[in-house]
Amino acid sequence: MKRFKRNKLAMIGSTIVGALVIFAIFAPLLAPYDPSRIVDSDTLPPSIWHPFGTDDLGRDVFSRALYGARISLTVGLVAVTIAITIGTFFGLFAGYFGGLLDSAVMRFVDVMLAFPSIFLILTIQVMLTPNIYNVMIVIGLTSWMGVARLVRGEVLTIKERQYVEAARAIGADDYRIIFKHILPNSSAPIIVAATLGMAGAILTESALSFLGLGVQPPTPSWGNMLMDAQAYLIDAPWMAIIPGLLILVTVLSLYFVGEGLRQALSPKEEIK
Amino acid sequence: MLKINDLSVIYRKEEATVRAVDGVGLSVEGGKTLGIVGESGSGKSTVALSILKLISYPGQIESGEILWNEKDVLRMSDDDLRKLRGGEISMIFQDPFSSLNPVFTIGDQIQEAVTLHGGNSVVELLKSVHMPDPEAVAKKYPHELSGGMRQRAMIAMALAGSPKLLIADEPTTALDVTIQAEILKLLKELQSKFKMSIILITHNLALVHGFCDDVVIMKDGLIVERGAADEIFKKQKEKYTRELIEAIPKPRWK
Repeated sequence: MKRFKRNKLAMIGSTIVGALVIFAIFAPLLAPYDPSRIVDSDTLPPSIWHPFGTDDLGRDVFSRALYGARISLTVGLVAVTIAITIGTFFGLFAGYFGGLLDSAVMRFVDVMLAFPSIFLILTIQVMLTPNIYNVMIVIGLTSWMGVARLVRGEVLTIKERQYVEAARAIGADDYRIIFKHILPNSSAPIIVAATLGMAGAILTESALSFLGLGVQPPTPSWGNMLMDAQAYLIDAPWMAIIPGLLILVTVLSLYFVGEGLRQALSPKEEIK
Repeated sequence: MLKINDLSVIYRKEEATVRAVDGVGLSVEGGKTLGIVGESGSGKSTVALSILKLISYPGQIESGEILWNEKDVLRMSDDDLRKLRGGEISMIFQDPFSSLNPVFTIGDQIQEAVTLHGGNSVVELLKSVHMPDPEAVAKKYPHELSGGMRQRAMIAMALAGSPKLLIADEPTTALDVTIQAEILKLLKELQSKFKMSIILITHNLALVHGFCDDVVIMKDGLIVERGAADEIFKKQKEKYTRELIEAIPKPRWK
């Protein structure tokens, strides 16, 4: 914790993420207008009444950005939760039991990784009805492989530790050893992977929504706000700059937090 | 009580197969203490792990039987095996720090053994190993304890199932000399209190003197000499045993 606090970038990152989460949670209270209602003339530049201007239909960009934060962060969180759960599960069992199970799971991971994931996601999304739930599930189901590899690697080292043997010597069964002794000891890299994975998931969601295969209008998401902005880059640049900046800042902040956590949780960095 | 017949354990490597234990036979009577002495690589720890069938890949028990009260441990079902481990037979390890899970408190870990095998409360167990301030220690994490205290905690954990046989694999090697004596004294005391047998595995023949009833000396997976502990110091059949006795450091500056 102390080491995390000493890392300035990580502190700035977590402050920004914290602020975004608060804005997202209280969006209905903070947003001055209904995000999907036309409230004024179109493409008004930023002003006191519309801090981020209005879009091509005359909707308030500030309100839309707030609600978009909700969508992006929720998608990121749920997708990462799915990915972490699947990845941890496969990694734990493959690493612990080894042998044929390990080979089978890891080759499956290799196959999944061999697909360019964005095309895989696009294909699946085209076949499914593009809505926010499918976006979460599809991103989750296509991003667990890294976690599985990571957890497997951790398990391979942890299962050789003497406290695992000691646990077996007092009569603990495999499941107790896996979930009580190995999982808690491999939580640090999982937390780091979750933070970095969330940044990735938010990016993927934006990309999908930008291509029209993600969150569907009129629900605002940073990605589809960018898509709407395409035709107005010259006339109303704020429409593109605001969601673009938000995506950039959020993803960057999450990376800083993840990197900070990695350094704080890794014993190897102690010497520095 | 415990009888090992013709036990062989091999470790398979890429090309070569190493026979770590080669046709070892020994027995331990109720309430007695057996010392297994040998240098590293002699197979003494492998024998200990075999008793609880804890040999895992790439190790493999090739042949032999391990009879615990007439039942062969190597042919037990997984369920029976789990009841045996930490129940009737317990084990403590060389390095008490790496034997404790760093993310749980001492109390939690002893509680795990109690949950699996019933028995006394955590604080009672800590009291029986003379842990100072047992209530406070139960709430501490392994890194907050000294080496001696960690080994006491490990012993408390091993006692949860009221074992009839305690296997101590180099229990004092990682500890200070003064703590070593304390731990051995504690083991002796617990032995008479719980009427356990003890198998003490060590590379230090000096520990055997006054602690063990019987002794086997192992080298390269074979038992090279066996006998009563006090006999072996007086008269050695094997040259290797003599070398081990001579290896005990003696103060030369008198």
